[in-house]
Amino acid sequence: MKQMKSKIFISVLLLLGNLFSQSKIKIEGNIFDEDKKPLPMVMVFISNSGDGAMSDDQGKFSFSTKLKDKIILNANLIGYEKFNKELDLQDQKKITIDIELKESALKMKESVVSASSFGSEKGKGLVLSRIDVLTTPGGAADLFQSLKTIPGITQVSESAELYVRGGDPIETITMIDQALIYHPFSYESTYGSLFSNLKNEFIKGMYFSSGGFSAKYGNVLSGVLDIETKGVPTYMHSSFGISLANTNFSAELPIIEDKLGFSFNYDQSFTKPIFWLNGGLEKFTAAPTSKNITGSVNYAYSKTGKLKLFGIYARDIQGVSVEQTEYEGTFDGNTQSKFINLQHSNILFSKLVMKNSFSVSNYSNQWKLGVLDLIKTDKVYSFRNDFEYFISSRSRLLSGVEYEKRKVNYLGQIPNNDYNIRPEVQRKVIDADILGSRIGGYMELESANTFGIENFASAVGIRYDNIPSLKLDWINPRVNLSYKFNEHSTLKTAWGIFNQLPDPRLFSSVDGNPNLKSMKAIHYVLSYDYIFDEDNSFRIELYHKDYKNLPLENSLINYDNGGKGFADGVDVILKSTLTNGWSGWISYGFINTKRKWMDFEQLTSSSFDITHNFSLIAKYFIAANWQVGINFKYATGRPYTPVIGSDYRLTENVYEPVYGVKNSSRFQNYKRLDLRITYFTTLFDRFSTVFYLEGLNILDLKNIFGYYYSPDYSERKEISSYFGRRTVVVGASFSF
Amino acid sequence: MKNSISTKLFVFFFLLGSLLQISFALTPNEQMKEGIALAKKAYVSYDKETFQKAHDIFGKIYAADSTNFPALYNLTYVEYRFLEIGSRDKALFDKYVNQAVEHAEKISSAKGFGSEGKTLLASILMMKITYNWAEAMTLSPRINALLGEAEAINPNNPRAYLIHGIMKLNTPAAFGGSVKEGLENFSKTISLFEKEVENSSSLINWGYLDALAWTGIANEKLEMSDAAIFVYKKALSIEPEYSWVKYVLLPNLEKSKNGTKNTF
Repeated sequence: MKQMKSKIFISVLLLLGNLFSQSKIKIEGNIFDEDKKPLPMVMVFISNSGDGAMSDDQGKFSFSTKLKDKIILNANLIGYEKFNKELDLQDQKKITIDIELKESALKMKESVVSASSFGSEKGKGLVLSRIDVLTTPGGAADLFQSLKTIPGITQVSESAELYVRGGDPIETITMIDQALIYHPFSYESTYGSLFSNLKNEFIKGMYFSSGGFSAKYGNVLSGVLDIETKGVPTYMHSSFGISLANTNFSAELPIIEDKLGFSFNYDQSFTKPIFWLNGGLEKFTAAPTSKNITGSVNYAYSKTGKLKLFGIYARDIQGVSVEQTEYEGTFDGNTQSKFINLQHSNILFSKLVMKNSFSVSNYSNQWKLGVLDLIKTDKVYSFRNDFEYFISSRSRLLSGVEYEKRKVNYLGQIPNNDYNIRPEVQRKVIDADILGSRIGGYMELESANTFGIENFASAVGIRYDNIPSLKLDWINPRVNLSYKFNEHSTLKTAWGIFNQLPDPRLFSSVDGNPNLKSMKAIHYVLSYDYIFDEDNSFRIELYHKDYKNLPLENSLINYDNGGKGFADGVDVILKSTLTNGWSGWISYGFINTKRKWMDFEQLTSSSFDITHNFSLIAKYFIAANWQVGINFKYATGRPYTPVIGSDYRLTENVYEPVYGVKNSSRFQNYKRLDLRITYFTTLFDRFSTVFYLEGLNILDLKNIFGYYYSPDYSERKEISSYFGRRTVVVGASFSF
Repeated sequence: MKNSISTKLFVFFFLLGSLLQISFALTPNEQMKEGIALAKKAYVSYDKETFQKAHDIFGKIYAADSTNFPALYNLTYVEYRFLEIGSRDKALFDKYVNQAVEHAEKISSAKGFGSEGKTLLASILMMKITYNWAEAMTLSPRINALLGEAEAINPNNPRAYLIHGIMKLNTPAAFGGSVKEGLENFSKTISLFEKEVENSSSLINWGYLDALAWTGIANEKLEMSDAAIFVYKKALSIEPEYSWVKYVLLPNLEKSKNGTKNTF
């Protein structure tokens, strides 16, 4: 019996001992940021175990563990530095610990978003996503055409070029993966270019600014479009598209997962069917055709190091019947554009982001119209190095250098007088090389809590540019300030000086002035953003731009820098995605801009002075697979200089027009409604298919480019715009 | 006489048998509980046969009473899992895809099921994308709209955030995907599940284990393997036989250094 009792006693002891050894230790505490603000949803856990918890709304956490001895306690929250600490649990029953998380070096607590910015993602400005671009009715999935629906870009013509806040298109630069591209367009003519060469399939991110932009961007007066192409493809897929106007094939091929991949796109346009269906084929001696081959190779050689090779080859040909006053014939145009860029990026010392690019572009364009027969070539070599140094989670130093070598050549013949382009008239022979290089550098300090003031952000920068061949340089200081009242509303202001060289052709030693100086603009912007939520936002912006040193015709030296001008305006946009299937945006821009430049001897309404610009984009899912979208545009008619009479020139047997006051008349107001009906489906369980019908100018509203006159200028006729008649396009794309 | 006795005995035993049958037959509620238990077991082991048994049970209940929306919800949930398994089993996917969508649309418009129904419909449409990614262009806007509505109806529905997170995680960045936003949604899902005080016992309460697994995947993508190991182990501490984590995710993470991976 005794033996039995001792057995029971030992068993009880063992059981108690076991129970004791199984007792848990409680670990609890608070978790907060550097400002002692509680951080919810932080994962707090013990390494190599399933013991842990997530912090609650007050930043509190609590969990128990059976582990003994030494453990590593971790706390992880994305955007913050990892926390880990060794704890000794020996002889402990409860441990209380407070954890302070520091924001990670490569993340700003608040991104410093400058005024007048639009971006493809939060942190770059008001969001205009890739889907917005793809589904804008009438935009032909073209980034430039879609951008024309946002305020600040005036509807001067139907071309793809961006006329930003009263500026000439050359005053807006386009960059792809840091590299400058001066001719990102196809179908260039005297009326502008129709579409861009940048295929949407390759665009990962986009930043557009219509003013007050960072010191990072140099040699530019009005606007910036900065595009980032996609990285290593994540999955293999292809797509094939066909419409009345073009066909294309694209493919993305990951070769080594997350490391190496290849992307390719071939696009061939053939416009005969579209003109056959909609009329207008008789206007062409050669219906416009184009081809575009775009490709990229991405290689991630380490966790942070990336190499990206991106290239475009584009070519287009067009032959248009022309009825000029004194000449009836053909405008023949053909353009070839090659662009290649190698970009390298890496993160050094965990706080320094470095990006370098080296690019080469080669563009040539030939125009033939009567006596005019001119080939323009533009070769650019550029190198750029950008650094971002994260000083803290609230401040960042940007800096960089760039070098650009550009050679523009004009070769051919031009008429002596632009009112007479008959093939047999006297002409000037041109063989002009404009060769120059530019060296630039900048530095900018971004701070999310300037002077320690919460929600007061700033970006203060300065850049320097030097043109050795012209012995010319300039310094541009720029400032962006913003104050965030609450999570919804932010007031922003920007000021800056911007310089840019005039169009290279004005430097020609034949009919230009090789000693021209840079043009100058001073921007003043005041902006208010109200972000309702992720999908709904509103912006109103006031701006004033002062132009100085604009090129002005001079009878002695062809051109001088005596020009000036201004642009004042208001831009408003409301962008919305409603839960009942509606999405879209309404934008309005008012501008008053005058210039004394080129052949405008007085301060006059510039040709880009489009007083009112209104766009309404609305898209609606009428059923699960059906979407209908409209794009309505209204813009004040473009100013033009009327012809008020003519003088007969006996020697040339031609009438010379007598012009009235410069830009004293306007074309009729521009109105256009585009409609897009899209049907989404899957064919054969494999091909995701989009069928679409696009009606451009569906109401057949008359819009004109200009006028042409009878030989003695006594009568005039209207020249219809590109989409001056209703044009219907049907097409489909198949992805697999 | 003999005949009369045997007839009486037959009637007696028949009545007794019927009575016993009635006494021991499961009520719809009990059947529902049995179905839910089977569906949970099936998910843990990812077993198609067990899912099928659960599907049969919910199908019978719903066939007997077409106003039994909890049964329809559970039935549709199982069909969602069939589609999940069917992303590698074309016959299974084809068999259930249309009825799953039809059922989910019905449940999403049923009174009181707005948030859960829309989330389930979004989940099923998401599986269609998983099976054929090319449908993303068609379905993504609809899924996002459904999830937005589900979150607006019930901001505390953890499953809406779970599906939102899976969408964000698996959508290419160029189309609005983001690992960071995926992880934020999974964290929200987990915190809502851990706060949850009650749940209708007639509906399958699914998603917590999924959220832990997906949190691990997101952490792996962000190269935070310690955190991934923690959530995988946490999932196993809740459900030691959770096969996706036990046999695939955790071993793969541990083997990732030598480059060999299991598939599921």
